[in-house]
Amino acid sequence: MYQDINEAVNVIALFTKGKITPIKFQWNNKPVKVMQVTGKWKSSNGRFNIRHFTVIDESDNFMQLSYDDQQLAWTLDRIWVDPPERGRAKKSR
Amino acid sequence: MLQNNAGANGVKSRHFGTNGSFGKGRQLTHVIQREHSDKETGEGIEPPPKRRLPRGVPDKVAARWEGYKTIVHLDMDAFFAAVEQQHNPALRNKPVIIGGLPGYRGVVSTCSYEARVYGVKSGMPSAEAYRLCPHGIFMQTDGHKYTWVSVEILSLLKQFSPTVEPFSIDEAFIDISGIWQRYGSPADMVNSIKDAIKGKTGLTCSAGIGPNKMIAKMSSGMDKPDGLTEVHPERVPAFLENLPVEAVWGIGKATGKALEKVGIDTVGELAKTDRSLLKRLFGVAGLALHEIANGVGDTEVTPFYQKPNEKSIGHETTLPKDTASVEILTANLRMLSERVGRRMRKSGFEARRVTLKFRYADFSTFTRAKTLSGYIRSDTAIFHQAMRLLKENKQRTDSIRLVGISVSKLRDTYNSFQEDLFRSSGESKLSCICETMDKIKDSYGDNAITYLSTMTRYV
Ligand SMILES: [Mg+2]
Repeated sequence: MYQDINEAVNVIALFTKGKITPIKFQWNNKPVKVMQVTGKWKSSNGRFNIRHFTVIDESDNFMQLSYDDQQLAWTLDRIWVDPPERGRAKKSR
Repeated sequence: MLQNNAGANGVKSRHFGTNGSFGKGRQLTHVIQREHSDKETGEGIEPPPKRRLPRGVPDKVAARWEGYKTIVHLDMDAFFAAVEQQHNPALRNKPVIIGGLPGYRGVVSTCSYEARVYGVKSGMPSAEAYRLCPHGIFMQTDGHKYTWVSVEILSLLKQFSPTVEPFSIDEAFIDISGIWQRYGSPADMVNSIKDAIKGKTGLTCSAGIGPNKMIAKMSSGMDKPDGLTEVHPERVPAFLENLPVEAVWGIGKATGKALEKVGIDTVGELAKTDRSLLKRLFGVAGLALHEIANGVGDTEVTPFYQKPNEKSIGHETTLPKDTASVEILTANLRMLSERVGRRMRKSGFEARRVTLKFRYADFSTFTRAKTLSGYIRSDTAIFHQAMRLLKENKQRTDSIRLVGISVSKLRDTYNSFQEDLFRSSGESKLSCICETMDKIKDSYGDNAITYLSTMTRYV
C-alpha cells in the first residue's frame, strides 16, 4: 500500500531542454539512487505547475517525487510498502 | 474476409458471420474472463504474447481496402489501472481497482484485468468491489495523471495521421484512409501504432478497423485486451448479423428491450425489418436504427485541433453520506454548477438547457431538464435552474445519494455579442463575476476562490 511521506527532500536532477530527470536524492540521511523514472506528469495549480515523478531505486523500491515550479522545491510524496503476506485468497472466488 | 488475431491461448480464430458463436457479447466476455483466470493460475508466468496479424499481408488483401474509408478506433485497455501498474511495478499482475476507496462511497471507475477475474466491473459500488475482491489494491482516481498520459498518446497518434479525434480520455478515432498504404495494410499500420504506444507508455490498447466509426468502435471491443479486429466493408453485414441489438453502439437498454418485445433480438433481424414498421414504433429514431443495423455510419473523424462538438458538459458527485438536508444538497449543487460553469466558459460555450440528476438512497434515479428562453453563462444562473428543478421534482423526502448537473444546447459565446445588449443585467453582471473568478483560478488554481455556500457540503 502507499504510505504518504510528504517530506521536503534534496534532489540532484538533470534539467535538459524542458525535461527534468531526478538522479539521486537524500532521504532519512541515506542517499537514494534513481534507477528508473517510470512515470511523469504535471498538475497545474493556476499559473504554477507541480511536476510528478514515479521512480524506482536500486532495491526496486517505488517512490513518488514532486517538483514545485513556484517554490523550486522537491517533495517525497509517497512510497510503496508491500503489504504483509496474509492468508490471501482464503475465500476463493 | 474478416481478419482477427488469435487470442492469448492461441487456438481461437474468429470469423464473424460464418461462425455465430462469437457474435454474442456475453459469450465473448466469458472467453476473455477465462483467458485471464488461466493467466491468474499460472502466477508469475508471462502470458504468451498475442499473435498479431501477419506483417506484410499479401497485396491482394491490402488492396481490398483500396478506395474505402478506413477508420480506426483505439481503446486503451483498463486505462487508469494500467497507468498505475505501469508507474509502480509492484502493482503489476495484481488486482488494482480505481475509483472510490472501500470504506467510502463512490464507484469503480476502472479496474485491472486481474480484478475483473473476481467479477469487479466499472460502475460497480466500491463496497461491492471490496466484497468481491477484498485483497484488491484500491486507489483513488488521479485525473491529472491520466490526462497527461492520454495527451502523450494523442500526440503520438498525430504522428501517424493528422485526422485524430479524441473520443474520451482513453479512446480515439483515427482516419487512416490513404495513409495505411505506406505500412502495407491497415492492420500493419495499426500494429505499428500499437507498438509505438506500447514503446512510449508501456500500455496496451485494443483496436478496431472498419469503414466507419460505428463499425470501428464496435470491433475494437471484440478482442480485449491488446487485440485487433478488422472488419472489411464487405464483411459488415456478416459482422453485424448475429450481434445482439444491445451490442450496437447507440442502442441502449430501453431501446433493446423495446426491440426484443417485437421479436427483434439480433442486428441481422433489425436490418431486415421493414423501415416503415420501425418508423411507426420509434419515430425518426427507427429509421436511424435501420441505418445502423445496415452498417451505415458516420465516417467523419473530427481532428483534435477543431473545436470539439460538445453536446453537453456535466459533473456529478456521490455524496459522502446519503442526506435529505437541503443545506448540504444546496451546497453540492453550488459546487457542481461552479465546476460545470467553469468548464463551459473555458470551452467558450454558453447554454440554454440545464439538466439535474438525482439518485435516492435506494438507487432510483431521476433526471429532469429545463430549456430556457435565453442562453446563460454564469454559475449562479446554472445553480438557480438546478435548484428550481430540485424543488419542483423532488417528491420524496428520502435521502439522496448522488446529485449531478449538466448543461446542453450549447453555442459558441462569440455568437452572443448582440444579444448581450438585451440580456438581463443580472445575468450580465453574474457572468462578469464568473469571468473574473475564472481569471483568478487560472492564475492561482481552482481552489483559490469559491462561493461561501459551497462550504457546507460536508456538514
Ligand atoms: Mg478503455
